[in-house]
Amino acid sequence: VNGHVDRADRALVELKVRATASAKSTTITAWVDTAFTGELVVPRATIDLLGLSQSSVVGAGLADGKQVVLGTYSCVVEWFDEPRQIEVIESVVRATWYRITARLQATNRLSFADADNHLAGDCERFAGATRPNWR
Amino acid sequence: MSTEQANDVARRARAIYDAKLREKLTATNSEEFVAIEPDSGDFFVRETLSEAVQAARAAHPNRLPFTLRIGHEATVELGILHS
Repeated sequence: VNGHVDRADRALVELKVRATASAKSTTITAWVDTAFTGELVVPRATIDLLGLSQSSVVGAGLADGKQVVLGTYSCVVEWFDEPRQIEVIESVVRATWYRITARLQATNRLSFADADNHLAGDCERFAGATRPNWR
Repeated sequence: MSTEQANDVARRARAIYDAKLREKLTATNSEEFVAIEPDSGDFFVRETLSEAVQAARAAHPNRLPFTLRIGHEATVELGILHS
C-alpha cells in the first residue's frame, strides 16, 4: 500500500472499497489517523453509495469525552493486494476524511512519500495504535 | 436501524456484559473485542472488531450485535468532535 503526505502533514493512502467480493469497487483516500482506534471510518454518504449493510452497533468515544452509539457496516477492502472483510464505522461528522489505522494488519508497514516521491515517513504499531514516524 | 433501536441493542448488551462478562473477560481477554447478541446472550471474543462482529453475524445473521472493547468504556476512540 502506497501513500503520500499532504501539505497538512496528513498520511494518506488510496483504498479500493466494495460492499462484497463481487461488487464494483470505489477508490477512496484514507487518512492514517493516530487518534483513531478502529479500522476504517467513512461518511454516511459513502456507506449509502456503496450499499453497505449494517452489521453491528458500537460505542464510540469522541475527542471531548462524550460517547455516542454508532453503526458498523461490512465491506471488503484491498489491503496489500488481498481482499479483507472489515467493519467500517459510520462517521458522526458531516464532512470528514476517510480514516484508517494500521491496526488492520499488525505485520504490515505503511510508508508514505512526498510529492517528489521521496520517502517521507512511515507508521508503526505502538501500544496497540499507529504512531507516525516522520523524517 | 434507528438511533433508538441502536441504543436499545447497546443498552441490553451492556447489561449482559456488566452482569456476566466484564470481570471475567477483563482478566483474561483485555484489549480484545467482544460482540454480544442481546436476544440470545451469545457472545464472541476476538482480537479485532471485525473478527468479533463477523463471528456474531455468522451465528445470528439476522440480528445486530453490540461490540465492546474489553477494558475500555468506548469500543473505539474516534478522536474527533461531534458536529
